[in-house]
Amino acid sequence: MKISRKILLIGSLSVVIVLLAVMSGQWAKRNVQALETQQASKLSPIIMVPGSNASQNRFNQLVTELNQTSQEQHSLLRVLVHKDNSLSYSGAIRANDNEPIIVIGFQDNKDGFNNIQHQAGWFNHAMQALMVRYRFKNVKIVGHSNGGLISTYALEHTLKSRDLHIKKLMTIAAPYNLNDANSHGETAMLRSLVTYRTRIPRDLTVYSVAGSQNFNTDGLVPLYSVLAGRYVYQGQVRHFTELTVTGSQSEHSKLPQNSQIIQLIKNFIVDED
Amino acid sequence: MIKKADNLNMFIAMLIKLRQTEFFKLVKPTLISIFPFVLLGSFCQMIRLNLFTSNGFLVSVLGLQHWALTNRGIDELMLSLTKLINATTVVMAAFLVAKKYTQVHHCESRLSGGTAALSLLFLAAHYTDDEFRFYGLILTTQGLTWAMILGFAVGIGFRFLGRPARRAKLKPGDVVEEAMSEVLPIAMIVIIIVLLKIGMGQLNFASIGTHLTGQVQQLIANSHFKVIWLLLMGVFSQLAEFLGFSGNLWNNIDQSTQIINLNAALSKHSALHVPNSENFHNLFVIFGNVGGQGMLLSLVVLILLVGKHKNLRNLSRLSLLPAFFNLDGPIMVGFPILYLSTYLIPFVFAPVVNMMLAWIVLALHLIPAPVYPIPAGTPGILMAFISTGGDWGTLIFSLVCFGTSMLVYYPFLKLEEQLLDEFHMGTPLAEVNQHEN
Repeated sequence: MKISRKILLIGSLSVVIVLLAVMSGQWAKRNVQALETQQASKLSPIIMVPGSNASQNRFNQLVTELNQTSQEQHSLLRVLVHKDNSLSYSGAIRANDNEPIIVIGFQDNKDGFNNIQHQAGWFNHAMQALMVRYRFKNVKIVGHSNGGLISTYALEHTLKSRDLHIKKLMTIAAPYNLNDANSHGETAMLRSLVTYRTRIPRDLTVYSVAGSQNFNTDGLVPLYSVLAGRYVYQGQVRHFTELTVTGSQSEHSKLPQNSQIIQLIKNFIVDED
Repeated sequence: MIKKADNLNMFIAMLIKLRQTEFFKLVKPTLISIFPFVLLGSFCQMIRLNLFTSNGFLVSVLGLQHWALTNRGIDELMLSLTKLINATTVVMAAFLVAKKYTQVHHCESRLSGGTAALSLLFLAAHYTDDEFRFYGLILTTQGLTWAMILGFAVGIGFRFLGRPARRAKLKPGDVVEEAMSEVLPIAMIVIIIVLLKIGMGQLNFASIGTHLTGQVQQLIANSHFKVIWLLLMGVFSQLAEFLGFSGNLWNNIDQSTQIINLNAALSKHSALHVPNSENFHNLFVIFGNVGGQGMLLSLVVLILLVGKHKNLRNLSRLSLLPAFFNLDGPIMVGFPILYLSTYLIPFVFAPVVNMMLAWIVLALHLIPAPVYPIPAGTPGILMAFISTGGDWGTLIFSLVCFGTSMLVYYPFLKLEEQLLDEFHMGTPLAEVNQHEN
């Protein structure tokens, strides 16, 4: 009787320990895996946003030239966001590429403040999907023309995630005051961007690059409209730098292929190491 | 051989002498009275940690996070219940010891217990910003020894300040006189407690602790015999726990090296070779506790397997489940480990023996270092297993440690049984039951 009781005790203890060990072992393995992915999320893509009337292929040449002049080879993924929020992908992120370039284009890429707001929503949707898919936690953003406005509007309104850290933003020829050349007149969009500027993360570093064919325009966007970005960012983010690129290929639509600008992206946006 | 026997007899004689002291005699009935409360508190804590806390053990392992019960409100409710049960237990202990003391010395007073409770609460409380705050340590089972010492001291105060001679002369109708005879001792005791509290306020315990920790860290970093220092820290921690101080004084001393270890393990996908496998966390916090604080679970299982005394076995059966989840309250109070007992030596050295074994297997890289985080309230026996990411070799080594601790406790269990059989000088609950048998 006594012996059997001891056996019962040892037996039931062993069963409990083994049962708990099997379950907690699975938990432990999942936990370690989660921690490893978290640590491994050194993945820090450069997100590029094209302007109005430009497709997700807008930056192909930029990426090619960037890779030609650097040792790091950035893989290129293009994402097209349809009006119904569905995504189509082309290109791919190479397995061990910690800094791929992801271009987010929009099916509806028309101009206008109204559509910029829609695009900022689609942009956020694509970002959320990409974060789940590729498990990155920080990004750099480059926006050309209206792409810069979409990024700015998204920072203020739609791109809300505690898990996402935006390290740097570069807007290239972004018309913060649309096509209004008058430095005193404010469009409704600029007013809105300035009103909500306090929602922009304070630890952001921002570069606003303007192109200039003559002293006041890049041929499409007035220089003053680009410089109006200072009313949005200056004093709100940690660093705000304005640059003006002149010389050959400084026409608005040529700016993404401008070698000066590629050099700026390499120096200011691409991670060091 | 004769000398050895003599030494043993001296040890037994010493234990008997201790148990004949007045303090121990007062502690006995007190511990019996509070035991059910301690048991209740442990079960509450166990249920809370396992079912209601969102990062608790069973919740994590069974994936119950989305279950309705893991709700912050309920968790806080259970936490407050647990803490109040513990606090009430400690206040009751001070009350009962003081009351019993005045009874034994025929200076029975209506308010000796109440004064002891007041004194303890006053020492534990801190009134600030229009609300009371309590120093957690005093009002947990950790502070039980001190509460009983306080009750004892208050009892002495009543005995010598209460003017029993004058009270003896009182006629049955002198109600006011009788009540007033307690004013002097109460006032004097309150004054002493206030002075004590002022004195305590002068000592900044937190800064002393931080300073001490810094010193120890430096000492160990510069030492060639790191493991010796780690073992001494283990001994010190256990002694502090035994005396009713917080034993987990140094449980966070390795936070920075733990992070280095964790990152190294994560990037190498293995915890087998980490930079600082030989640290206090790995040796003591994990392997020194695979049977809970002081490896007490191994004593419980040992008694259930080979214990001869029905009462010890009953106690062990009650304590088994809480002890499995590292809640040692029932054993500390019931056996009692908390008060000076036969088990001082194994309580201190069973974890230290484990530390040495762990040091060897870690140095030989036989098992990975326990670097990964674990859920709250993980049973000691599974701590190392989970914090190595589910390494089965480590579980087997934990069981080896557990068995070794049973061997360490064995001679002391036999000694305790001898005390019970031959001298009827057992620990409170066991001895009382003895008479009933």
